[in-house]
Amino acid sequence: MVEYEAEELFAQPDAELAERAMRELSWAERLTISKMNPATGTENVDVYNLPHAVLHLFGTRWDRLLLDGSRAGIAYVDTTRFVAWLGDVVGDKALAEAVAECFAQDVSYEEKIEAIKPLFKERMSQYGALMIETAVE
Amino acid sequence: MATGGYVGKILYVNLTDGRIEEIPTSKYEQWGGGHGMGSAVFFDLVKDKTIDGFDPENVVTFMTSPFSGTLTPSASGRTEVQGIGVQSYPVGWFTRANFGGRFSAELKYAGWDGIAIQGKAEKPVWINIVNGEVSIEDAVGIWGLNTHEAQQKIWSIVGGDEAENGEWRGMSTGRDSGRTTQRPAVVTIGVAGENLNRNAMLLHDSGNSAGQGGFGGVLGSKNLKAVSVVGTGSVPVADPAALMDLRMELQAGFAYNVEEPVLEAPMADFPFYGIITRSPGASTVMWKGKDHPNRPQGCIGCFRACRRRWENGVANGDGCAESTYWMMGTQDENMAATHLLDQLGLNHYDAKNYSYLLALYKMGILGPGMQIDTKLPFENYKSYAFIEAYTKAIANREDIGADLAEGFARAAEKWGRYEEDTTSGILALPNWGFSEHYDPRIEVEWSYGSILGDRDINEHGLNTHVHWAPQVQAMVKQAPLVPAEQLVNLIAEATGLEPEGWDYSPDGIYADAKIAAVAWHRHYSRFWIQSMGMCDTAWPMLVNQVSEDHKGATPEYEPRLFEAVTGTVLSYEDSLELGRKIWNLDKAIWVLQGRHRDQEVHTGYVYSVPTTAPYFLPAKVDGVWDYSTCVGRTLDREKWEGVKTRFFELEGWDPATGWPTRATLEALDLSAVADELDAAGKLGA
Repeated sequence: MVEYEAEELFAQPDAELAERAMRELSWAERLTISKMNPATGTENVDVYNLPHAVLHLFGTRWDRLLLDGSRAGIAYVDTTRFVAWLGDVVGDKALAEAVAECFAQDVSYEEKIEAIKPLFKERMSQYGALMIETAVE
Repeated sequence: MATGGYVGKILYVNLTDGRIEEIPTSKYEQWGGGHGMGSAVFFDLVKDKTIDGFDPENVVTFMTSPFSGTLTPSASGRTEVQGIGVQSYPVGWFTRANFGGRFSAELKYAGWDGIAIQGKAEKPVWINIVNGEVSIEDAVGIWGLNTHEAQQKIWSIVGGDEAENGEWRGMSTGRDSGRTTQRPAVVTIGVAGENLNRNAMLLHDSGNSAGQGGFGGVLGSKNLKAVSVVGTGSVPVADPAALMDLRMELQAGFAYNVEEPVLEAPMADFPFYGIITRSPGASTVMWKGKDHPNRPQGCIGCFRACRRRWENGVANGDGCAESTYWMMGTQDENMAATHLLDQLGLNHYDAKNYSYLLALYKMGILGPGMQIDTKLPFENYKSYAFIEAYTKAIANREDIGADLAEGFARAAEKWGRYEEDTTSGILALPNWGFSEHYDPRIEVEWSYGSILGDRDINEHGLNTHVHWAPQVQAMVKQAPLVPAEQLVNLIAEATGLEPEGWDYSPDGIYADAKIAAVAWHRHYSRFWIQSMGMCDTAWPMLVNQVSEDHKGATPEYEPRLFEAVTGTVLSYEDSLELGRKIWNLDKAIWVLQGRHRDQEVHTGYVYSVPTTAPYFLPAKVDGVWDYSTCVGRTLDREKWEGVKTRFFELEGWDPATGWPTRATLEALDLSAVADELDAAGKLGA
């Protein structure tokens, strides 16, 4: 499995990219995630921002990403569509490429999601810091 | 004649004139119990089956089974609720709901096999049952309370609430009438039911709910807040030693071994896997124990104990879909949202469609000053404040909650959006206005059974084996515990059907073998699950994930348990025939309500929007069995019509209308039912 040092992968985003990536999306820009569990079956959930997608995919609040683990269990996203959404809608080409590389590995879906966690941790931290910085200014 | 299992009488209460009467159980014993008895009692008491669910003449039954209150594993604690419902769309069909806990057992200990309630009280009341004494009580001081408060108030009135748990309590009927360690078992409605919400549920104890059908609203329309029962008697068991032996056998062979677990989850913190391992407390699917101390909790007599009781006392016993109601925010907020549903008496399975409203908000259709005008804080949809305001609005009929209290289907119709949104699938209500549960385009026992019946069937016993177990294992890339070919052979052996009955390939779901499997599912469920009160998270036990040969307990154990409890020999084949008889009686009632085959069609998206997520089920492709992802699937309208025709022929119903024929009904000893259909001009040709 590919393992990344996130700081080696992503250059610091600029404020414009951070603002675009973290914005609230429209109906047409939504991402659909399939939430699977034994009581409810498979439910399609529409998400309208990147943190919301992170919340579902990793099953926790994004600011507690590594603390909570996989509370939500199986949250399935079509990997091809997810990469396209990250690149074209969210606008983060670097993140989309890194995620695509992880998804190309011949491992289970659950391992793929685990593999992209560090990427999101790093990227969301970068975005968060930038947004705080912008707010302070 | 049974020598055990029944306690002899059914309670009839008429709220209009205050009549309290006894019906001999022996009159209905031929139906087994539970659903069968409830349908038969309803058929006899309600002369005009075309009435609305809110009509005072509607009868609501609470029925137990011979197994209720005994040590029959995973079959002692269920109560079957029936009557004309108000939830299904466009017609409020005669329907059923069910709840666990201890109400059914307490009712039997009080000497009653069931309750039938008819009429409407002049003012809010509750029914108080203490052994053989029954009274209709004024609900002043209880009406308006939430479901938990109402139960606590009734406990304080009936007695025993001041005692510590586990202490003996004497009942007010006198020293020699017996004692119990139990508080009264109360089933109640919340404010949603009082406000005649079509999705109002019934709640018992902390989190046992009868969700579907809108029976909370039906009881609300009768001015009936609650039914309380406490008993100090017992249930006769024909062969107690045999029953105990069977329980121990099932415990040893089919339950989770706490001391030496055979099968454990492949990773920590992955509670879903518990539905395969059957570890206690496993069905609380979304909440991790580490955030709050807790312990497993089960319905009375259960050997699986799938729920959890939490130290913080919030959402105790909520172990099913309701625990997924609100998944944003913290775990404490998730639990609080579910707890709120319980207290308001609102069914999660319709209220959960707030995601549809969010889509309309995002589309610029819903919001302040929009086409669907609302002041609900959709701009803060990720906050707990939103879900709290939204949930209370439905229960109290405020803002757009006034529309949503009629159910999402009726609300969408009022807004002029029903056809468009159920065709695109953004409002996924495939059958009779009920929310999608398991995928109607693939797992067709569920969708065929639902549209040919009256509601979302909500029967997980088969689904766990054919779908959920391979689904979990595929997603973690684990080899399936039971390979597809072995699985279908095991199920075929247990059901007596062909392996091809469990083929979910694009052709398999329309095959004759599948139609036979759907019929088997309806007949088995009608008798063993809904009439005998066997819990669908345990029964049928078609496959055993934790033994070497994976052979399940079905069909050997069900008849043995029946004989041990009732003293009556009932073959598996005869039990299915009884299930078919009950299914036919239900069908006759729906036909009298106006059912025709032309109505038995799913909403548009089922036929036009392909599935996108992997959904593992066994499929036979080019003669080889494997688990298929089933991606890209829709139902074919024309083929569905063909399935209906062949299903009706198999059931002995008129393929042109779907109505039962006289020959079929008379062969099932249902001549009186045939006469009533004939008189209504609705007997199948």
